[in-house]
Amino acid sequence: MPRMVNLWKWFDDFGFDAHRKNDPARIRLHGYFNPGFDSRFTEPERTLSLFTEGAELARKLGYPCWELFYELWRAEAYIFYLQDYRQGLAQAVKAFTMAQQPHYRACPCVGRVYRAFMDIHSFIDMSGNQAQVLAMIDYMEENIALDDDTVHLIQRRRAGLYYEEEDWENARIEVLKFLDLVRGNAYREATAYSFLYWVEFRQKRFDAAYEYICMSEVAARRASDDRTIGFALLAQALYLLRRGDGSDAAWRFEQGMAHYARIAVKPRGGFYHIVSAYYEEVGDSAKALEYLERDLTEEMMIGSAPGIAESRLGRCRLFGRLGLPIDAELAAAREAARALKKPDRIMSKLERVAAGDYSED
Amino acid sequence: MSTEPRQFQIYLPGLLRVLAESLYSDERVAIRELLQNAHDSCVRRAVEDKANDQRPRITVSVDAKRRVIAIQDNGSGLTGPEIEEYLSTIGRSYTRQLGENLSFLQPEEADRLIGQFGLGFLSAFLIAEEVVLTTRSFRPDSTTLQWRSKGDINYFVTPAAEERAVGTQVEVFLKPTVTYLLERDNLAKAIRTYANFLPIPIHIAGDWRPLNVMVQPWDAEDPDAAIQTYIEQKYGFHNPLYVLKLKPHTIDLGHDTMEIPLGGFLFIPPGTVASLHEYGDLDVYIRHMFICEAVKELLPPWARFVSGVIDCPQLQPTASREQIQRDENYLLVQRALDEQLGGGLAKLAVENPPVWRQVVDSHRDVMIGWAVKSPEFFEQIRDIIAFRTTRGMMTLKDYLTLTDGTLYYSSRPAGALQDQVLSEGFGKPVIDASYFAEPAFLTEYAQRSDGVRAVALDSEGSGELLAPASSSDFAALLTYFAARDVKASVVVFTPSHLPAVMIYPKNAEVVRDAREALDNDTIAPPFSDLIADFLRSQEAHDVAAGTLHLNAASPLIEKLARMPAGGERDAALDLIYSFARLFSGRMLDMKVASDVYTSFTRAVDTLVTSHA
Repeated sequence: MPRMVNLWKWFDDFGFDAHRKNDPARIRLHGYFNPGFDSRFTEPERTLSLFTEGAELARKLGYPCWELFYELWRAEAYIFYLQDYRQGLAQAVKAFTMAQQPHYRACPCVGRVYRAFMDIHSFIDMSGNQAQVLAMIDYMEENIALDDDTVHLIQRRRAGLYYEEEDWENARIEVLKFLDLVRGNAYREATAYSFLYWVEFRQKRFDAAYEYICMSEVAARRASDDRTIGFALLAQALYLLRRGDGSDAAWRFEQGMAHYARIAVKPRGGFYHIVSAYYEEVGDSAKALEYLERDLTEEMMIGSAPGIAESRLGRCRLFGRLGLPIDAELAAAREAARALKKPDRIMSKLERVAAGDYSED
Repeated sequence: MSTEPRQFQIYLPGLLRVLAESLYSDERVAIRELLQNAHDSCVRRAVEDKANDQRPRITVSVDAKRRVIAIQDNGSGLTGPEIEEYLSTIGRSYTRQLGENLSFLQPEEADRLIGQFGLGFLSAFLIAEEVVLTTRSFRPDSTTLQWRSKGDINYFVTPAAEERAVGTQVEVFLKPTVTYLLERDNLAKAIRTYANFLPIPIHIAGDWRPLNVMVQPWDAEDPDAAIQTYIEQKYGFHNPLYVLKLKPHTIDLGHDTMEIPLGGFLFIPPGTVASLHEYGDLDVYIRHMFICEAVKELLPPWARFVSGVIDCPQLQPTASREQIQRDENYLLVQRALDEQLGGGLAKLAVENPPVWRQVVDSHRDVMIGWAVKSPEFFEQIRDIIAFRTTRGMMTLKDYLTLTDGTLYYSSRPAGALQDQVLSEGFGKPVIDASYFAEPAFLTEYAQRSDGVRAVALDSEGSGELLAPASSSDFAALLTYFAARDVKASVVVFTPSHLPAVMIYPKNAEVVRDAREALDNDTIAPPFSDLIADFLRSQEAHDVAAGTLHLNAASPLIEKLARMPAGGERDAALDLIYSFARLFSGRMLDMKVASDVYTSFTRAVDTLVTSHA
């Protein structure tokens, strides 16, 4: 096992030292991060701009580890906050390539650079890149000095691999391990519970899913994470609506949408599918269609091939349930599936749709 | 199961511990709460004891040897029943009751009272091992009583050993961890932080000068001078660009109007650093008592170039009085500030354009960033914000007179010289939009203006300035470059004296570096496969290679196309290629520089030799 690194101690020590010596250039270099990080959900463009300025200043001042640090965070900004996977991939490759060079190789953020490279490939096509992602995890755990957060997120990706393969039991076990690792970090706890929600939901164990999403909401409120609070409330609303508690459902739905309205990052698939399902349930098919249309548009902008294929699959099913013609959409969905490295699973789902089975997974 | 209502039980030791130790985040608030009690006691005496002619006064003394801070006032004092009913009953406040009684007949007096929760006195146990309160009420026939407690569930009330004048003295026996408060400077700083504007003089024993200024700068005899001095002392700015004194504000609620009592001032500092230091924060006072600083949400989001101080009794503090409750009043105060600031700036723009221009110039980047999110503010500044262009700073209104309705901009840092020359050749200045919010501002401007469009002249957008041309007359030149693995095309652009430009795709550098790393075999297998995938996808679209665009309108290119291959023609083409690479501002490293020098030397040598 390689040693662990404390990335944030390195970060803080640099800041303290810069302030102690009253060194304005280094204070400025250190100072780009916090305002950038703080505005990541509300103003992701500003986040990117601050990290870009940081990287340029680091280059000018001759601090290679800071240059790599900000290049890494530029990649994170593209991947997680701007959700531009095309540019996110290019930026992750850039940071990764830099990290191979001798003067960056010992920087404390190298583990995180590797992780960003793995993340973008997971997001672009988790199923298609499964073997490579697993190999990357093994390589990182054996050869790269990692920080705590990277260790946690590697565990989360491991769970994601099982989830993608619809191996629910192993997915659940790996998420629980992730949850154990992140106890005390409300932000990560909230995502772990949210993950468990999906694991249960996909198995149609809706009561258990509901419990997890309520726990996710509690943790997300501790972390003031509007996106996760919003999703939790929407998921609760769908559950309550299907259980016949329409008024409580409507209230939570409204609250959930209000939380999403506060953030600038794109909501992504789970949001659109839940909202669409809610509208379908209340009989507003126009809205149900509109949200899946928006989902598809977003996925195309983001550049996620699996996202596009999943979105089209969802549209085929909804078209079928609403009695709309599905041939054109089915053809488009098949074409989207063919763009995947491993199209078989989604193709078999599309064949079920073609045979008249419009039910959700 | 009974349906009878049941009452909560209270576990007093636990509750006391929470209230005394966990409600507050800063232990110095104990000083604030005790001073506020003393202040309210003086106000109460002024209201209830009309015969009293003493000037109210609060004295703070320190006995370092005994580790005691004592706060003494000549206010109303407390009777035995009042000690039981108010001092020793958690959550019951005489001040709140008095305020409610006065609110109809003497609202101004009611407004002077600060306390309301009946919890503040408990905060003394944040810093105290023991508190001893000695008090004598102004009521006839009162005697001096002593109350003491160690912060547990017990307290003791006894007659004092000696009679005192009317008023109250609170002796705080400090915990060892807070003895820093025994130092005069620390104590004075805490008093000034929280009680600088309390209208009753606070003295440190032995000093005849009050420690607090007592008058809020905006209420001073010469408020302009007092505010300037305050800004200088508190914020360190000698010359704020603009100061707006806040006034009570009437809000139109549609069905009714509402008066928001508002005091304080807003000011615009001399400048902001958009990336690192924005303002938009306020220090908040309620009834002259400091509550919290740097509150961001009260001012409108676009006002990140404004700072200030407000005092508004409409705002409700939380029980710890370290924050403000986000209630309906909060929203009304937000709205009042929005309207008053918006009105003030609009007036400034009309009545004093030079100062408004200075404000906009000094806070330009912050304003651009936030205007995109606020339509009204956008309209206010859209035609006054100046942009850096290839012809100097100018407003978009002025710029558009030069380009027939198109905003040409480059979002690359400093913009490549080549983009600028291309654009200027086209007869259009280029806007430097390298700051992150500028492209969004320009796009917004175009969307809000009839017949205006915004065109990004980055590597892909440069095509806007290149017109297709027939390559048949230039086949020999294209063959020459193809033989050297240089991708070339023939187009038309202005100025015609520019023979060629080199344009690279956005991620060209990333692809080049990844290719180099892969070729050097330094990347471990699980990663190298994916890097190879990435390169395949990028190289399939020629992302790594730039394109040399030869200008068919250039007399030089026309001449070279007619010349025989070899010698002088090839030397000239090498020079054109080298210059195009240099002025693209992209893909330059030591190896490229060396290649350029080599080809330049060879070309010049050929040309010189041929003329020798």
